[in-house]
Amino acid sequence: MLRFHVLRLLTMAHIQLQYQLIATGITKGFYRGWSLVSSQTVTLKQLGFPNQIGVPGSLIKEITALLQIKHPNIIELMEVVNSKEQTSLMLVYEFMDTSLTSFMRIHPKVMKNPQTIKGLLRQILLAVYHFHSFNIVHEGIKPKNMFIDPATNTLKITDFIWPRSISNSIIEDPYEESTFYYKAPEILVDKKQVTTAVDVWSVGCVFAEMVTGKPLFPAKTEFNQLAKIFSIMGTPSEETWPGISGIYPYLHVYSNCKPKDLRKLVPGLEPAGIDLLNKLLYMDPKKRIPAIKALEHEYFQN
Amino acid sequence: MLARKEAVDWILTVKSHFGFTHLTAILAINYLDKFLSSLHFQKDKPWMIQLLAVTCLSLAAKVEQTEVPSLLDLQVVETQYLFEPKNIQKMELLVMATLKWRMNPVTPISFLDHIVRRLGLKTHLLGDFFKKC
Repeated sequence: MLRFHVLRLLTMAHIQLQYQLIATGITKGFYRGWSLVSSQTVTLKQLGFPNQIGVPGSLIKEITALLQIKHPNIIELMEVVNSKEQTSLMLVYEFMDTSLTSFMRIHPKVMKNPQTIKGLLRQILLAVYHFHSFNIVHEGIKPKNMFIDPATNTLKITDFIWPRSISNSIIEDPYEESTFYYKAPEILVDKKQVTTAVDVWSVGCVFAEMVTGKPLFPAKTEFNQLAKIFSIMGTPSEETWPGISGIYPYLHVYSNCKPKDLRKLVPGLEPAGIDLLNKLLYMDPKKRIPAIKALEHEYFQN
Repeated sequence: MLARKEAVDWILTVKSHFGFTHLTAILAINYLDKFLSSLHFQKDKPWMIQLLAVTCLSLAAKVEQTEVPSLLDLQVVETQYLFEPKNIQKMELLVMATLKWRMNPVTPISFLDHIVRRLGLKTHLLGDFFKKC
């Protein structure tokens, strides 16, 4: 499947004569390319539309918005190129090669510095706040979708488009990092409950992982993810999450867990950080802290 | 240009048929005119303008409406040609590339919104006004 993809992309690049393929498989679905026009390395991503029932509306809105968004902490979508036969698109992004996942693995000592974590979290929240102000929900925030320039510790978020709009055109990779670790409880319960708060939850998960180096909610399967969250954050009830029984009638199936102390699960994080983490991981999405408020939290004051 | 008039008429008819908002029609005609003035438009093919009208309305509906009919349903109203969804999809990609993906252009409605808010009308009046827009 991958070879097929590469071949198609190569043909496409030859036709366009604008980009040359250098390497494949940086991350699933991404390729490294060289722009012959601007002489710089770029990240390429190809989107096909195998269903042939029209371009999805969500994709149209997202690309339109992303081409307008310019932010220091969001990977820039530089250009969208059509294949000659008008059957697929190639998205051209600015190039970065160290994901947060590999950064944490390569530089464990740097990650021990609380100021580094603070700086990275601040940049994540700035990016999240920026696209929320465009009414875009990312829905796929995870360490693999964040890239870091090790020289300056600048962090940029990527991958808004693929997961939702075109999910049926990708082949699931069993070795890929489990995206459901970072999924908010409300979308595990009901996929329609998507609001900007789902991104805030994912940011909370990434925050804890930056401190400990391990995912906070590592369930074995997506099915078990909800139980894993309940076992740590406590099983919700109508008191702690008004309306939960309406959207999730199977709540009684789960054993009644009490919330655990995050200070013990995320050791080494200062008290203000624990307070912020609790607010980012608030079970009821309506009461979860918005990105803009999180940026004003006292954790960032010093 | 007679062909353009027919295309616009068709867009307006389908818009009323599905109860789309006025903004949807304005967007569709905006895309249509931009594409017509580009180099991509081939005047020698009579079906081309009809394919373009279907495509522009489909794109506008996806940008503006929450519920969008399928590409075949969209062609229910008095069309001379019936296009396959895969061909409309190709045309969609071509139109968006030609428009440089500026699918959210400034339209007269954008100004109306601003002006009407300045008038300080009561909220329900504002709502009524926009329903008529």
